[in-house]
Amino acid sequence: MKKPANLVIAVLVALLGFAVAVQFKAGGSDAALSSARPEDLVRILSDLDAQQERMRGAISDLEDTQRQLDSGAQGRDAALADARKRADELGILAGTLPAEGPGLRIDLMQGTEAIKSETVLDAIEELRGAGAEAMQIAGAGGPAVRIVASTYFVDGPDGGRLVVGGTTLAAPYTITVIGGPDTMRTALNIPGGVVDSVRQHGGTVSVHEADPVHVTALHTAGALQYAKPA
Amino acid sequence: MTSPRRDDLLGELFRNPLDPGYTAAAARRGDAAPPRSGRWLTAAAMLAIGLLLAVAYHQVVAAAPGTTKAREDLAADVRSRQRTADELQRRAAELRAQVDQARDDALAGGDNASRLRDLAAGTGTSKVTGDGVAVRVVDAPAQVDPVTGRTSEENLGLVLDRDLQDITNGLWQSGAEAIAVNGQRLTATSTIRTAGGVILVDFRPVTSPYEVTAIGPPDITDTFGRSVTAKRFKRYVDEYRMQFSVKKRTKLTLPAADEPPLRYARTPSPSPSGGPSR
Amino acid sequence: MIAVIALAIGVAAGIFLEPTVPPGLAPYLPIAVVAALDAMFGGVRAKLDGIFDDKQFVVSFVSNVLVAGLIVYLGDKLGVGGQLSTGVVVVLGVRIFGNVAAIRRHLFRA
Repeated sequence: MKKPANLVIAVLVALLGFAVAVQFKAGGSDAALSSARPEDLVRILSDLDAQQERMRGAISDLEDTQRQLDSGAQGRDAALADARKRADELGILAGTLPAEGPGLRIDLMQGTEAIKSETVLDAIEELRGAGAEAMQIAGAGGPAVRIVASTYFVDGPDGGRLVVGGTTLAAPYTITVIGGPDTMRTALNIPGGVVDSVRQHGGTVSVHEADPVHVTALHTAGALQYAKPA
Repeated sequence: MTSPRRDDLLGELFRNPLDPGYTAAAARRGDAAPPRSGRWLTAAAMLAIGLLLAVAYHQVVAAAPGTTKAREDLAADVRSRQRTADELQRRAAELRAQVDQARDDALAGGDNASRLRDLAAGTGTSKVTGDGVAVRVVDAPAQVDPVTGRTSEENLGLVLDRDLQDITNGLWQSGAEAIAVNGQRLTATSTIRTAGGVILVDFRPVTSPYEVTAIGPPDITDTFGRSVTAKRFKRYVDEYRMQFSVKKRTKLTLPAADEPPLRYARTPSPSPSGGPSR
Repeated sequence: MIAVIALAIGVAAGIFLEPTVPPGLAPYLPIAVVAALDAMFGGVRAKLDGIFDDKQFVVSFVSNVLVAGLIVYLGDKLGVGGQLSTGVVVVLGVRIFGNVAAIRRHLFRA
């Protein structure tokens, strides 16, 4: 009578092990999403939709280019044109080339309290999240500074100054950004967002839409010294 | 035979889970059959129990949904769209690689290809390797109120998107040339934002523990370790029981970010890139 | 037999009629369910032991639910709601397990 019992025990223990393993696996990053609020999920959804649209556009462009490159006769011309286009795009991203396109001009004017670097950093992040493609920030009467991946923001020595990637700017600040104007405007105006937090500190934000806006400041990118292509 | 101690309540509980009333009633009745009227009482009680079970089910499972189900549907939507987004990105990256290859073949090398590669490395769109630093922050564990046994709703030691933004900001300031957050490479258009309790980097969720890796000059670990941001986080460790560490790392490899498509920005014509090889 | 039918009718009524629970009582619903289950299993075990008594069953059901609810309510007012609630659930759970084990012994002789 022992054998059947052993078999049953073995099966049950195996099921237990399976259940434990599944439980461990299930408690992954999915759990993170299930604790988010519905409003936040809706926002993530709309961002994902916008991003998907951009991706689909990019894919169709790439497919066109691929078709052109594959067609023998125009191959070389298409290759040159694509190389030029790619260099342009990378240049815009790297900040070594000027850019123009539809976008916004955002003026941040400080009131009683100085505008902190966290607020400006938050604004840049929000704009990036809303699809900003090229940005520059200018201070009062000074030259503009191009904003790229490695641009950092620190509070200046006295109030009312901002240090952007090594250049000191004085308030009020103007951010010029190229991207989908409506999406970016919405992102700035969300409750608790940039417009709210500047207003809470006594400042004002004014947003102007224009097509095109010009991002002309350039970022002198030194060659990478420590990060080597892998 | 030892009789159970009168004050051994827990032991009694385990030994005699049945109400002593039943045995007492049976003893009182003796051998007589139970009265028929009693059955209706029992039936009424069972009806009530059935009602209670069904109502409780409704309350807990079926009715809570107003919010729970809708939110679960949303979460499922988000997950499936993330999957689609991932696939689209994979396809785009694939196409990009094919186009690059076809273009390089057509141009037969030359300095254009290398120029593009250098540009790409600087914008985060190509894989890089080097020495640098790894900054690790972990959420503080949830506070448990000793009296009620409930975990407190707000956890001041949770890492926010702002914290990760500050750390990356500080690392750029300390001279970093490439940064990745939990394996997601940062570009000029990368976003770090919170939605509910989740931090998203470029729409991909990342969870605690968070590791921000950066490649930069040899002294980057010290420079960042002495920065205002690092000092502030060390304070958070004491105040809110967050965890924070800055460690030097060698031979870091940061993956390439997917190249963000530019839909609005264009270079002012004519193209400043001009023609290639002269 | 009648008891089982009554249970089924109760469940069906609850599912189809969907009575709304007054919000004040909603938090006590889960503990009431556990208390009711304890009374029910106690009854089944008594039946199998041959000492079932209807009056005892009804009294134990009603008093279980009321006392459990009262204890939790008191606990909430005193600020130890979580603890007392856990205590009640533990006690009821132990009783349910004990009775179910006895029922199992009756049914399966195991």
